[in-house]
Amino acid sequence: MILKKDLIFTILATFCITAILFTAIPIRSTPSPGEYDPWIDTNDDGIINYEDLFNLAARYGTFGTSINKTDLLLQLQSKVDSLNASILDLEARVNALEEPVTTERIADDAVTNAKLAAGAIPFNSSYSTTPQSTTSIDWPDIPDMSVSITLASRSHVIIMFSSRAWLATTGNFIRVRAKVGPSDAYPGSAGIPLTDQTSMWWSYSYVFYLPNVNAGVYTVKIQWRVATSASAGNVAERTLSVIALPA
Amino acid sequence: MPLLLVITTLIASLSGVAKASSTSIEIAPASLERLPGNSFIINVTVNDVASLYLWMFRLRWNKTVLQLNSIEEGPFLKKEGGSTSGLMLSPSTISEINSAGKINELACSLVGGVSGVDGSGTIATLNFTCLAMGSTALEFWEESPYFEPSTELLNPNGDSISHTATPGTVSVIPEFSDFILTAVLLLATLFVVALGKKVRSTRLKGL
Repeated sequence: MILKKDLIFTILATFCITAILFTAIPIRSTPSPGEYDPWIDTNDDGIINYEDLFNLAARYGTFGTSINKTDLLLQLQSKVDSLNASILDLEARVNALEEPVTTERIADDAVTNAKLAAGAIPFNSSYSTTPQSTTSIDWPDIPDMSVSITLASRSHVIIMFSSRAWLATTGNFIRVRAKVGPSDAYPGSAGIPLTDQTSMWWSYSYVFYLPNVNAGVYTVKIQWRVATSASAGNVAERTLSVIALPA
Repeated sequence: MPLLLVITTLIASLSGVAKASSTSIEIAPASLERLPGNSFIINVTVNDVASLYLWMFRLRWNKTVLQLNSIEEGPFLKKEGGSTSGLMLSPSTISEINSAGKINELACSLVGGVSGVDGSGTIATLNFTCLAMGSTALEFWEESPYFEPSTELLNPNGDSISHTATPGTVSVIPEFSDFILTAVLLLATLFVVALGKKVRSTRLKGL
């Protein structure tokens, strides 16, 4: 009488043997007898002949630590793949580095060197600690808040302004705006409200910008006004910094 | 004294030259005549070899004149008691060899870390049958890139032993047919009978 346990065991054993056979056959079946087998060609000359016979016969009966040639090949293949990937990466880096550094590209600020020459990135700044006041509503220049900048190529101009500011009386406010030559820097000709406070101890800062400015020499300045001329707007310690980045 | 030195050096050098050139692979017998249908044995021999570990040769002949029947390993390589690989033959069957009229490679090696064999002897014996009248060389051949050199002798280090290779020839000569033999025998008999009669009549006349 066949027990259920025995039946399961038999099925499992048959499965294991079959699996081993199917695994082993492909490994052992290449190449078939009568065909050239490079693994037997011990001197790699493309023919299995008396020299291979000698190599085998002279060492027949010797023994030592064996090596798994297939595993060795796979390891080598893996290393070759890794090296190839490194080479491709290096190639890409070299190509990027070897991109010709032409005068045009330098002038266009597309490339630069690590040691930037003085003035390579256009910059200018100004500051003042002298208090100033205005009751104008016509956008006069804030004294000492004007610089000149030279753009060798088309650039984005960034204008950083900060100042202590206050009003003489409540009910009024100060607006400021930036100009690059004749153009208004963003956010525009209406500028931004700087303060409506009468406390003279607060400081304010705003960054204006104007993109895609053509090459040339420009005066960058900050203008101001009050909403009504009934009371004066005041500024004291203030700075203006202007930089231009390649567009 | 200087003369003696010169003579000694000359003798030594001459003997050295003679020894270096004496090792050979040969077909034995070098020349053979056989009738069509006859089978015969050809030995391939090595002569005056030192420390032979492996031998190899490639042989060809006119396949319309000769047919190879069998190849056997000669006793030379085993004479010191070493084991050999047995004959390593390419092509591997006699029929393939006869189709081509040549042995691509026949080799045999000692096996294991043993010394090579010295002296002279037979390394292989080939049995042929004569197919038709004609003459053929039994010659060692080579062809680049896979079938060279034509012969090789290796020592246990795998170094080639310098040697010469001498081919052989086989001539298959015509055979008298039974009819011709019978006719010749009949004529000879008639001639003897006629001669006997003449002698007897001459004796009778004398009496």
